[in-house]
Amino acid sequence: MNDTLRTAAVGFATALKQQDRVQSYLTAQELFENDEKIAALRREYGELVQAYHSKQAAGELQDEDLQQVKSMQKDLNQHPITTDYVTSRNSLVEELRAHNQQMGALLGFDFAATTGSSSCG
Amino acid sequence: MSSDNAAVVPDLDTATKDFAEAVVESPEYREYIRTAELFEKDQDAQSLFQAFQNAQQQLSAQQQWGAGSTEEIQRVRDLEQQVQENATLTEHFKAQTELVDTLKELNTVIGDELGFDYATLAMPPRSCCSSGCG
Repeated sequence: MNDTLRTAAVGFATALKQQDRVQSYLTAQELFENDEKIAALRREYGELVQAYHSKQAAGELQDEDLQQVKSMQKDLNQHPITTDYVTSRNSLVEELRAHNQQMGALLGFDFAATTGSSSCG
Repeated sequence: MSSDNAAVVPDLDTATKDFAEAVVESPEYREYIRTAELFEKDQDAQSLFQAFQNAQQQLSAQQQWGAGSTEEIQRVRDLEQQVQENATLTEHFKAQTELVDTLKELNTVIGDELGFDYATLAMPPRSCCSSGCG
């Protein structure tokens, strides 16, 4: 890759990073990844799911196991840090997709679809 | 943000146009376009590639049902060999791979700056680009 391309890519990313939705997402992401309370909840949820699968494999699954997982999942999903993170991510995705379309019109192809790891198959 | 910073960071529209311009003027993109035009003009290369794709799809469909004869497998291999020996096709595929590699590198540069993967979030839902761009 030549320097002109690299400089243009950095310039584009720098300008994009100034956008409100990007800033909101980065703040929410930072909190979601580093808040101790939410980290403990996520850890607890992960352990619960693992235990659920073990019991399922052993044929020892009971109704309350599923209820426990659902309840913990609800706590995690309804936590304000999670909802902020999900909302800001959705909002960012909406803006980036619209922006990627504009870029596609300039390039003549879809940059993100060509470049990103696709979820095909 | 200070006024000094505001002067340094271009607005998003300008930065996007600059970026798109740098991509379409890059050697990798120019080479891709050059080889794509050669492919467009080369009827033999187009027919060969079409025949290869058709044979491959046919075989794949048959194999899903446990069918697919040795002759059919051999036919796909022969066509694949011809594709690999066709200069128009190999040049075009090479240019396409190099362009996609460069675009992926650019996405990494953008992602490093942003703190997240731009393409993953910006790509249209359920998008596939198995055949590259263009």
